[in-house]
Amino acid sequence: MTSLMRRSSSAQRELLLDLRRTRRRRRLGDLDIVVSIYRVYLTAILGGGAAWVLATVVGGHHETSDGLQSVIAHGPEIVGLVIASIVVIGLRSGGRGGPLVLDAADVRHVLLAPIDRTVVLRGPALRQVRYAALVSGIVGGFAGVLASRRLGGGWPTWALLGALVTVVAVAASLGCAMVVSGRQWRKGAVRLAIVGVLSWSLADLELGRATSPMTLLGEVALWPLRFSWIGLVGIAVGVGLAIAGLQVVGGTSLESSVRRAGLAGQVRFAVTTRDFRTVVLLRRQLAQEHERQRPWFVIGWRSSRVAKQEAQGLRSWNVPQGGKRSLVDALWRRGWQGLLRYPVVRLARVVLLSLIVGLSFYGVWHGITALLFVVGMAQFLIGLELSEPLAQTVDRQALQDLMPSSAGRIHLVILLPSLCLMVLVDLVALMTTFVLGGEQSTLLSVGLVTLFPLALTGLSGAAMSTISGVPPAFRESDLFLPPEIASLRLYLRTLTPPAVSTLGAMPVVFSAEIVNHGGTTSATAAAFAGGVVTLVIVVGVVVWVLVRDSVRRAYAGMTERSRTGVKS
Amino acid sequence: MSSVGEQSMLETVGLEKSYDDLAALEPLTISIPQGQRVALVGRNGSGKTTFIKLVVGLLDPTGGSVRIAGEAAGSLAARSLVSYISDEPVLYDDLSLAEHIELICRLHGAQDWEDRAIYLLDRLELSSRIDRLPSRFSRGLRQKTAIVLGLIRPFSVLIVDEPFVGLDPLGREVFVDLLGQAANGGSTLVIATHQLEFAASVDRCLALRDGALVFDGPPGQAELSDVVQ
Repeated sequence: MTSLMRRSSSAQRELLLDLRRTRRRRRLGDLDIVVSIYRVYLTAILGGGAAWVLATVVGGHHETSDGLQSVIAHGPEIVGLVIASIVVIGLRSGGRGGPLVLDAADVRHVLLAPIDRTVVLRGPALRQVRYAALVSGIVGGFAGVLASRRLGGGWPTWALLGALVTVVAVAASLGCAMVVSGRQWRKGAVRLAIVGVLSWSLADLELGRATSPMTLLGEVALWPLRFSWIGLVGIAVGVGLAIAGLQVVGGTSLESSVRRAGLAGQVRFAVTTRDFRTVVLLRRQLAQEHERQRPWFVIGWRSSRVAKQEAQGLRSWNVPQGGKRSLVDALWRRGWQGLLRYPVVRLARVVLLSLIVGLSFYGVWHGITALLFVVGMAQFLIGLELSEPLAQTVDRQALQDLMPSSAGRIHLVILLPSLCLMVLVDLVALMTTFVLGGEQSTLLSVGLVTLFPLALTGLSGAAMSTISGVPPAFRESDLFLPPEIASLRLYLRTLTPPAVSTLGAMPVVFSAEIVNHGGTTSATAAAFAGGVVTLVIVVGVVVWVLVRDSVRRAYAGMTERSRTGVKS
Repeated sequence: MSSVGEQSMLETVGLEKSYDDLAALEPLTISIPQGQRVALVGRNGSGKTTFIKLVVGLLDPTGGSVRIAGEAAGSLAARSLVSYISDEPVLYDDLSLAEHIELICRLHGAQDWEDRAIYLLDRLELSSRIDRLPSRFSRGLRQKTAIVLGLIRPFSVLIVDEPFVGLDPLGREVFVDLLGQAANGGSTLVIATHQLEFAASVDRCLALRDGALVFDGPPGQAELSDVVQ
């Protein structure tokens, strides 16, 4: 054993602190004060804006006594379900080697050195828990204040308990992540744990009982309305999970740490540049989600039909019949070939998202119109998942330029297989709403009217995002605009694709309005009107896809000519 | 040829690695005695880097085991024995070359390392850059920095992946000399390379193809070049 291995853990800690101090000193030396102040300013503006919007949405009127009774009866279970979702995020992160994201150099030099890894990793883990606790405490406290406006009682108590519950929930989530990664749980075990946590909370909600630790913690959030000692068990379990995580975090796999070190930083960068496509790709890499080596079934020139013809001597050479197939046929096949290589986990994620769409529609149908935004985001994500063949084409501009057709036409044709799948997925979503809604005939007709507009807008938004690529931080035309307008343009460009995906829910929103508040027309007619509006927008997107490339080329040529002074 | 000890310094038993249905390394059982110089050869994608990362502890095996002087790879004891120089230098952006060296020596409990550091920096022509940030070095200088960091700390097994990437001819020559010094000092060397001329100077060659061991023997045999070329 080397001398170092005999050194005490306090000496090892001192060594790591030295490293941290040196690096912090250098980082602070490079810090730009103006940029830091600007970041604080932006955070304050955005945070304040979000708080104002939330306060407006929640409103300040008190609940009726029936409403209060309902909150007391079901509140802990619903809060428990939210906490369970937070814990599930932790479990998923742990399954991928999280929650820590280390510097690649730390992995290579410090974790490969003969130093107890628990000593090395506990510091960063503790800092992560502290930071998450601070942020979640602020969010929870604010949620508590909002709750006090609707449910009555002193806001300091609500804020304090809101902060306490969110801090414990987030700490428990991080603790779960550290236990899973530190003990190197297998994927199957992680999935089982996720199903267990969610099922337990759902069972509590269904049976109206508080048995799960998450529901017990949910009780604490409602202590101003009904105090019960049993909530302390929830706090104890949450804190216990956090402590357990910090104890075992040293066992985190180096393979996962290396992968996260390389990818997590890129994901953050892609998020800051609003590059959805790169976020999707990196997140897949982080989860080690690869395309299947073998497709679910083979189509095209390696299909069983062609192979059979070869075996029977009916076809001597198994290559495509060049020139006979049109470009449309080739792109249609290429689209399916990509989709048929989707791994199970991606397909499962798409189905899960479709169930979320279905559940949210159920909420919209019963007057919770704000769930429209959940539908929109879920539809946008489904669209991004299913438009992978398009994204593969857009990512490879050089190959696309070799194809004997315009970019717009190529993009539209390659989206057709994705659209077929999108219709199927949205059918699942609407069936979910139909089943939850007691199989009403109105809901069925509204669903049928909604299906195609929903699928088309979901895919349109995703396609717009994919084709547009990363919004440029600066364009020459920005020189002529005030900075506020230029940044507004950037935000509009980022928000337009999800907004288009959200518009697909308009038929349901229109008909729900009729069902809940009455009107001069039928719910189905209202849905139809919403569908027509939606289709007009889809047509606009199609035109944009078709002409975008030629307009861009023409604009670029014009700019170049004006710069060089050459007259056309 | 260096004298080779009887004790097995690096031993793998049924070591394998796969990613879903893709086998990166087929079950591999080998034993490398103390002081032996081993070249690991094979084409791109043959499994050399996978094998090396498994030995170092940067990858988790799907099956089998690796032991360094009887200790499990990645364990505290094994980490104190194995030094690893990769083909892609991983360095801190915010530490100077001198600070890197000090950090590595302190992490590995190296004693009286200053003279050795001066010697290595001098040989690799880095002395004038000691207070600069390696993150701003060229590819070759970063590789030389990684070599200094790999050789400055105490080790019994030196693992090198593609040692000559980015090095100029003089740098290669110096590195080969430094590797020779390490071997003469009794260290076991495992070096992954494409270059058969370097492989000719070692005690033993292991050749991988598609993740499977296809040759294990002394260098210079005809079937070895068939595997690599």
